[in-house]
Amino acid sequence: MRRGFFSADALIALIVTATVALAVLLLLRATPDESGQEQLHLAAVDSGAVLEAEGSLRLLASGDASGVESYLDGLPEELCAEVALHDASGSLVQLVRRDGCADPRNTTRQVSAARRVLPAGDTSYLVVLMAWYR
Amino acid sequence: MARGCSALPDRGQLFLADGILAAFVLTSLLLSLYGLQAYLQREAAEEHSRSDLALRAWYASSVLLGTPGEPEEWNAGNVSAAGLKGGPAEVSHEKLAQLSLLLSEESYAPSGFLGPGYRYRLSVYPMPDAGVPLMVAGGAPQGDTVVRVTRFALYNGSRARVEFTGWQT
Repeated sequence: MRRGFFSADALIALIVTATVALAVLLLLRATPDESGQEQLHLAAVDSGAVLEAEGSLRLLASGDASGVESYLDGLPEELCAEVALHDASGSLVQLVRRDGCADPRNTTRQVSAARRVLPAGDTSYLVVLMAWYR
Repeated sequence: MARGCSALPDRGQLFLADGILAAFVLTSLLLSLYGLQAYLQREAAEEHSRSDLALRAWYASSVLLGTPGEPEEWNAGNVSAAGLKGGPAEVSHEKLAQLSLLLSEESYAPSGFLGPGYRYRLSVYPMPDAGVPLMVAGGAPQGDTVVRVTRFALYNGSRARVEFTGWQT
């Protein structure tokens, strides 16, 4: 029988080696993006500071979510965010999420959260801001 | 002739075809591995350089946006440390204008805020983004290693996106 240039075994070995090498290369390139995570954290922290400074968080505590909603809608298109307001007992009082963004708890993407305490008269609220990419 | 030698050709040859093929495959494999290693090393070096710059940019943006500077009401004539904070979460328009003046002077220290061999630019955009910056301080980024850090703040009482761009000269 005439032998081919490569035997079937050699061809299979070559394909397996190439596949493994490619998979390793892709895995190495797909290492978690730390800069993205840091960027999300900065977005969450900054958003909390801006919303508090302009008074939108106080309005949210009094039931008016329009300021927070318009802020979230003005964020860069690729960014999703939500603002959750909890009372002193930890119960959720208000939850505002950017339109068109899914619940971050149901995503496998990187999510970053920032917390701040909002004093309001004789009580205080815990504000949790979450940011993630679409 | 011994039985074991019956498969050899009549005329002598230095290597069998299998041997040549094996040497060829092995050489190709070694060259590929060498190329892959060089590629990964280059990628790692670029990533390291990028991470380093990103870290500098995060710190620099935090210092600039989070501190009022020294003296607190500084200007291009008396500054000892640049900072843009004008109030809670607010970027001062006046200080940004002064920083813009300073960044146009090649020799001035704040232009080397990220360290020697680095430059930066601050651009302030309205929210929602209309595409046109309200204010820009610093020149256009150059080179391959450029990082952008996006911050959010109040500017002239309105919401703004502050883009901090750093690059290696």
